[in-house]
Amino acid sequence: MLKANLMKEAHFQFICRWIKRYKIKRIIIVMRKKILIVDDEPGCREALKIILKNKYNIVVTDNGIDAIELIKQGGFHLIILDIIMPKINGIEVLKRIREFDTQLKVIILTAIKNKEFVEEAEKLGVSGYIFKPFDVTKVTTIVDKVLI
Amino acid sequence: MEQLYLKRSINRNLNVYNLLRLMRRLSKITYYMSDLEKFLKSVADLFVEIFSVTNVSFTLVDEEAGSWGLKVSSQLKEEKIKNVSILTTNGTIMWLNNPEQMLHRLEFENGEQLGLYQKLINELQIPNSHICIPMVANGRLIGILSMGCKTDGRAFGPEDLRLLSILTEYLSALLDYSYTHKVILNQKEYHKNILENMASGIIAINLREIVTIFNRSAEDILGFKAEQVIGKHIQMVQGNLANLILDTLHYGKSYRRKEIHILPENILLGVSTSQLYDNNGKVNGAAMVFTNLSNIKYAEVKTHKNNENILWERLSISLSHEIKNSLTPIKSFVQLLPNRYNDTDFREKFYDIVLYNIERLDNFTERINRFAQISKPKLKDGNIHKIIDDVLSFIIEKQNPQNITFIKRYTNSIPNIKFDHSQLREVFYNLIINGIESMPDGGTFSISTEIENRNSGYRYNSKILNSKLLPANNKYVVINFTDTGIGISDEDITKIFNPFFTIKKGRPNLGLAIASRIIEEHNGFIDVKSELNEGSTFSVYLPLD
Repeated sequence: MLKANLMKEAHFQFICRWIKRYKIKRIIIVMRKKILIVDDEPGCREALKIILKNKYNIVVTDNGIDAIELIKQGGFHLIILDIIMPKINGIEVLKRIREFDTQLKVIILTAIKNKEFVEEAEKLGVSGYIFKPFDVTKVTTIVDKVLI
Repeated sequence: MEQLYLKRSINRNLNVYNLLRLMRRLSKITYYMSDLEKFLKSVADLFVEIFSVTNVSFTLVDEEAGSWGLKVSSQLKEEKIKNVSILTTNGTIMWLNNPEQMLHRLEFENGEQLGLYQKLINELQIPNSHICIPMVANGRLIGILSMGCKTDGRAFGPEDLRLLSILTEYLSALLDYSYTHKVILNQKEYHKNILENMASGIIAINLREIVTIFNRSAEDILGFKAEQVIGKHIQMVQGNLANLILDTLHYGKSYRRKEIHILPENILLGVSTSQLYDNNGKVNGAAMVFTNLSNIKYAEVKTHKNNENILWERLSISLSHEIKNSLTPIKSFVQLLPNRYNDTDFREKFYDIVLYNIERLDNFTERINRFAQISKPKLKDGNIHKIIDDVLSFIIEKQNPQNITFIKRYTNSIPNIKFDHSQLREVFYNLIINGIESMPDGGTFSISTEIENRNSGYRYNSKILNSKLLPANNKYVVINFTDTGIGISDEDITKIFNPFFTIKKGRPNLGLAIASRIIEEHNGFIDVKSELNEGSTFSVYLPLD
């Protein structure tokens, strides 16, 4: 089995697998997935970036309006979305995203476990929740799971 | 037989015996005075007999309507005369107000009196009338007695007229008494209804401290029936209440909405008492009006609790949000450290971000404390302008705001006023910093001072103030802080003085909440005017005593 090196800045990850049965070298090219992190707290943005940047392509933004613009431009596999933000909150952003993309995966990031938010989010369709302050390993686990 | 005998007697002689019988008959009739029409009909019939006339009719005055009213006649059925109004300045009426007067047709062959007479009999619709006698009681006309001519054609003799006059006076007095009696009874019923149906309980006692009034609400509130209580001594009703009302009765101490808690009923009553007086102004009792406040108090306490709960909820949401947001990067960076401490970049970020957020947490706690523990202002005389200048120079020195022009417009006539110097410094600091921060790309910040007269009743066009209870002062020192920054939206403007409300990125702005609280403790208020993208003006009003 060939194991490819993880190239930090590269956009591609090469994984080669030799399946003995077929004696075929299979080269699976996996695109590095692109994640958008939306949070008005710089500390949180930075922390998430550092946690995830080895495996994924990370883009950060601090407000919902810019986030929607970026999403419309396309290419994102996952949005990690904070709820409480000034001007436009996460649920509102989610609503607008769902207006043009019902399949896009979204993980809600929040400090507040509020029933109302959870209900609304469920209605709009979310792939998971991360509660602040979060555990680094939990973050990697849930993101990996969602992005399989 | 008897009747014939009577007739003859009266026509010739006023016989005492006959008179007695007449009076006895009249007395019997008056048993039925409650039915006015029946009574008058019987009297009319009696008069027809006594005087041997063709007809007798009574026409009463309807005082309320100001016109003739009920007419009862011996011949015809009762009827009411409608729509003939009596002017009290009417000559006939004025003339008739004298019970000595009689309108006797025969006496007035021609002239003015005959005209009056004709008019009267037309009005009263008594065409066969021969004599009209006014019925006067207590100086006012209450009706007319009219008689036709005698059946045997004779004239009315002087005894006849005298007897008629006496009987009419007697009858008038009776009718008036009856009328007044009815009025009084009605009033009594009316007042009784009011007392019975009042929402408040009423208890009244007389000079002997016996309960005379105990209405339905009193029954409901205290749990006694009126029968059990009326006629008994007040102490039997309820000890505390008895003490209050006895105080009022004997010492004239009146209570106004005094709240007393009574056991064993375990209710809170609001009680007012007063003395009662007779017609001569002497105290002849005392009365107590009370309502059950328990429900109201309970509702008040409940609302208060609700408000408290809501406040706690809001508080906890804001607190936990702020705290968790600060803890998140700390936790993450600490967890990441073991694997990445070799990375210089990471180490730098770690240092900056973790420390920053720890500071943030600390500052936040500080500000909450400062907001919650704003103490009563220590008032000292001072010059407002000096404080503003101090704060302004401090800010310019420490913060070095870029591209901002400061303009000062002070009214020199502003006198020294009493205020807490350090608290006002904080207010001005917060307001100026807010203004500066709303102009990240620079702008103009102006501070002006003036004196303003405000009518406390006048509602200014201000969203902030209309929701607050304004103090009653009229004269204020006003300090206006104006910036040319991003402004505040209509929607946010009512919330900006809320602690934990945040317009700025993430951090709750306690500065305005603290400022607002301090100014309120000084009996002043802060008003805000703002236009989006044009700027805002915060006006601090301090009372000028």
